[in-house]
This record gives sequence, structure tokens and C-alpha cells, in this order.
Amino acid sequence: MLSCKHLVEQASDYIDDEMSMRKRVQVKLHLFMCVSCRRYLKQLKLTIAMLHCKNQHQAPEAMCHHLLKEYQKNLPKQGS
Amino acid sequence: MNKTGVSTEEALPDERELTQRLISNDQQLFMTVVKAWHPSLYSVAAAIVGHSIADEVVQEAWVSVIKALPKFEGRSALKTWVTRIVANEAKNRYRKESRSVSLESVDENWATDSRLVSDPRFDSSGHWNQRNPAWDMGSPDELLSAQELQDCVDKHLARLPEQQRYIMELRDAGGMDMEEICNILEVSSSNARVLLHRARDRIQQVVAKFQRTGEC
Ligand SMILES: [Zn+2]
Repeated sequence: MLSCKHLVEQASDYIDDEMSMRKRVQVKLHLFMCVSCRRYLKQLKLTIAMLHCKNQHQAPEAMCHHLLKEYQKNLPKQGS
Repeated sequence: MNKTGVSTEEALPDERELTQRLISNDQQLFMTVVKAWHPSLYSVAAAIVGHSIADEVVQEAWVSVIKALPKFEGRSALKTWVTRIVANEAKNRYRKESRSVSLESVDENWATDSRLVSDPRFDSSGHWNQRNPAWDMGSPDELLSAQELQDCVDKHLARLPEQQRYIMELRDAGGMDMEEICNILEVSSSNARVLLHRARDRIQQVVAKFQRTGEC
């Protein structure tokens, strides 16, 4: 049977759906029986979601102005 | 689209319409796109060239995008295409500034050495030594609003081996495809997957420890 350590090592492949069907079934079976690994998987997903939302850097105003000018210059209204 | 992430792009029209309207001078839409995509484009640039010139790199990349847009063939999603241009621009800048560490010098050993090192979380048969406790903070918002925890995460992000951090930032903060990341970093996909997981697992452990002990 798949050990907890092995499951943890492959958790990203499972989450990202980069796993063979056979492996997937093994993981699911393990998760069904193991609360610690179920929690780990949930925590790893939460960690990824946190990293995704962390440091959401907004576009600086000066950059927006500059790009709008470039945009108007290079992609003028059609027919004009 | 990133499966795990929160999308800020729901208001944008579908691919075809998006490209069409951007080519035909929809200034308002253009600004919406620039703003909506900035956090992930910035993450991609920052992962490669660092934070100090990441905005600049994104801006330069957008100028290239504007010029190339009428020739965009739609073989990939527009955002994928723009992200690739940002990454290439960042890579060029990185080369020009000729920093000491090469992006290509991924230590291939990182991908294989983990199994030899024992992991204190598990016993010799690979079972958890202690039952993995549930977390008190159960949502990204709760985690993000705990400032002490975020400082701790930042500290550990900075300590990750560079390649691990690049891959995780490109993937999880920048939302890039793994295939694109492998092209940019010139690393095999199996190694990239191992490095990505190692970085995520490390940060999971940092958060877990903080939840358990309140300490970094
Ligand atoms: Zn288990």
C-alpha cells in the first residue's frame, strides 16, 4: 500500500492532475482511510491558494498612462 | 486558469471577442486587461528579474504585445501569449544585467536527493509520527490577514533554493503552465514538478508549524 510519506511526496501531482489513473486510485483509497493525509492535502491546497493571493501587486498608474498612450498610437480606431 | 486561485478575470469577454476588441481600439477594455492581469504578470517578471524592475519589464512586454497584437493568431489563449512575452522580456533583461547566478543552472540533484534524506514527519515505515492536526485558520483570507504568519512565510520564501522559488512563483503566483516554465528555466518537466512540490511542501510546513505553535 502507498505510505503516507509517498502520498505526501506526490500530493502536488495529485492536486495538479498529473498522475496516472492507477496512481490516482491508490491515492484515493489511502485518503479514504487516513485522516492525516486528508488534512495534509487540504492544507497543501490552502497553502497554494494563499501563495496565489499573496502580494497581489497592482498596476502602477504611471504605467497605465504610458501603455494607454502606446495603445492609442499603435492600434488606432479602425477606419480612421 | 489557475484551479486553486481566485480569479479577477471573470468580467472579461471570451477569448475571440477579447482579441477582436483589443485590436479594434477598445481602450477601456485594454485598461481593464492591463490591471486584471498585472498581479500574475508581475509575479512572473519578479520571479525572473526580481522586484525592483518587474513593473518595468511588464510595461516593456505590453508595448511589444500592443505592436504584435494584430498578428496574434490565437493558437494559445491571449493571456498565455502575453505571459510568455513577459517571461521572455524578463529573461532578456536578466541576461543583460548578467547576474551571477544563471537561470539555467538548475541543480538536477535536487530532484532526486529527497528520498535519501529522512523526513522527521514520518517513521521508518512511512507513516505519520503524529496525527497531522487540523488547522485553525481554514481559508486563504484568514491566513493572509495573519500578519505575523505572512512575515514568517516571506522569510521562508526568501530562504528557498532559487529554482524552487522561481518555479513556485511562476506557477502558483503567476499562473503559468508548467510547460512554459520548463521552457523558460530549461529544466525537465519531471524535475520541475519535484521542485515545485518541494517548495509548496516547505511552505505548508511553515504554516503548519505556525498554526501549531504560534511561532515562526
Ligand atoms: Zn496517510
